[in-house]
Amino acid sequence: MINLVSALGGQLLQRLALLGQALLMLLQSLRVLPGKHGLSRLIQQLYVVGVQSLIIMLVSALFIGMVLGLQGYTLLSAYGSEQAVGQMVALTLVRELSPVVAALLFAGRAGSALTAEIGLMKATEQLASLEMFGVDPLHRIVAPRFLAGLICLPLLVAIFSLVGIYGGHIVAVDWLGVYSGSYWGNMQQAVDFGEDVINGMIKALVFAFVVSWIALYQGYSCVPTSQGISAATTRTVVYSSLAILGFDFILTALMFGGA
Amino acid sequence: MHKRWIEISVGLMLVAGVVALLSLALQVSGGHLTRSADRYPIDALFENAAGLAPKAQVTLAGVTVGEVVAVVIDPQTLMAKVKMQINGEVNYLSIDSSASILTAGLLGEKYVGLTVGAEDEVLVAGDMIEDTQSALVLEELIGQFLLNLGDSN
Amino acid sequence: MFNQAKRILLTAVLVMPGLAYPLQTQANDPEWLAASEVVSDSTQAMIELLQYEREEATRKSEITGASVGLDEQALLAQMAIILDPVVDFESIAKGVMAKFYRRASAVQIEAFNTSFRTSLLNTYSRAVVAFKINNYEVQPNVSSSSKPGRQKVWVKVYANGAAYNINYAVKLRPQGWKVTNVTLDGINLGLAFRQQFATAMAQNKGNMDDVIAFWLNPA
Repeated sequence: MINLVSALGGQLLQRLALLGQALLMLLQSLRVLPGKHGLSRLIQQLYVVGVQSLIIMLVSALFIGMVLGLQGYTLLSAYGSEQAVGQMVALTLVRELSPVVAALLFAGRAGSALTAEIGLMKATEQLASLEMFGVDPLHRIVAPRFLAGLICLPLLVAIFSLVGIYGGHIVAVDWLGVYSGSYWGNMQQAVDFGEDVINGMIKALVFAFVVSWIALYQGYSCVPTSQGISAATTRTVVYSSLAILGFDFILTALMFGGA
Repeated sequence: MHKRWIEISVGLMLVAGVVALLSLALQVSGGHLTRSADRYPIDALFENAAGLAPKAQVTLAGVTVGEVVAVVIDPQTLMAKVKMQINGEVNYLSIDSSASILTAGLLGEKYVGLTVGAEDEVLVAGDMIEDTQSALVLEELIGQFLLNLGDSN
Repeated sequence: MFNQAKRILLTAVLVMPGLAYPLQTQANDPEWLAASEVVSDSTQAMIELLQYEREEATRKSEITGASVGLDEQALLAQMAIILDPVVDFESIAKGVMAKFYRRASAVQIEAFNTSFRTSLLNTYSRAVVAFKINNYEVQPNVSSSSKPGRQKVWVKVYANGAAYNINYAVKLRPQGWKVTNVTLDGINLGLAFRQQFATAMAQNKGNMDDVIAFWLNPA
């Protein structure tokens, strides 16, 4: 019995230590944002993290929007309110689906790539050799990637929402015959910029922070073997997903819970 | 060459992101950003404001002329005070105008309907409408009416 | 233990005047008292009038041997005498016409004032007879008015075993306090008439004379 308790306690302390390490890494890399040549490194990372995620975002957004339009139409026609499908698609996407799904896809595509890349750098001693040259790897490697993640995900979420709404429009208006004026009109009445769009963007920012942090830390602290790298990549995706969904609930409760 | 493509595509992505955000602001959420400057506040006291929420419409003869901003209790008269913002160009609401809480649509959203009165003097910013009709009563009546019809059949 | 009791008693003594103050200002609000007196007196007079007319009808039935109904003409006349000084018919009629008031000529306004007053008295007398009001209670004032010269008086009226909540909106006119609106069980009657007038105008294609005639004889 005592052994169990001490084992649990030991586990807890170990987890806390890991969390502390992760926080330290974050703080150090924030303190040393990209300087000379930093901009070109940042642009490089924006490309890797953002532009290369665009395809998956666009396709997913389109299909999700179309499904929302279809399901929404079916559900609402039971109440004779098909004209409200625009409002339904827009609110669902802007408030919840765009931030969450885009962040999950981001974690899977860009997050795992970041973890693998940094893990490989660690395994091939590149990080160690940078330190030997007096270059802080956090400055050179981690900081631009973190910043790129912070910038890209909110932009991708906005694009996701817009493409999803157009996807819904294709299904509802062009295919199922909802009047285009009602689609946009109801939506404009129901969606409030300050409450819905801005809150969605805040969620995107929080998710960007969390996913980038987890991905970079897992890469930076992984066991420098091929097995270690793959384990770290898996951990990135799993932890990111859990964190995204957990924070989503907290943020939703804070933002929309009162009303 | 490859570097050039990287820069261009990143630039495109940034532009696309900003355009998406702007579209969300203007087309999706109806662009409220400009209108709040030329509105004036009017309050109305109701015995019962059940179901009326902020952002509900305020209409006159079916046309939207403003928005409900808040629904609070007036501690002096112990009634529900509905705070509204009325569009600036609607400056013909007489001081004996009335306000009713009405129901719209199948999903039952509540909104405020105004009717203009006979006086020449008009409402200005901060004025209060006291001639009001709460919603619940009419719905109960309609319900009772239908019930009685059903009974008599 | 004893100390605690002393402390509680002391706090209560100190706090009580503070509590009494807001209640005092509302219950003893002289404006509300004056307004509620007007409402109470006229309601009392109405009930006594009804009682008198019923007794008259019973007496006549006993004399003639046949069943005699209430003398509606007498009732109406007496009711007008009670209500004319305490109900501001002209103001109510103006509110009923609402935005059409400005388009009406002085002749039309006068005509509507007359027909509205008559129809209101008719309706009211029939309602009062049908409902057999036997008792009323002026409810104590719990809130203060938002403006001077305006009061709201709540009266609970008992009729046919049911209780009805009536709210009188009363304004101070040069001739005294007068009723300007009545809310019956939550239904704003002045507003209901206003909407009826507007509907009638729409149905009669804007012809105000037709509407005024229709008001007197809703055939």
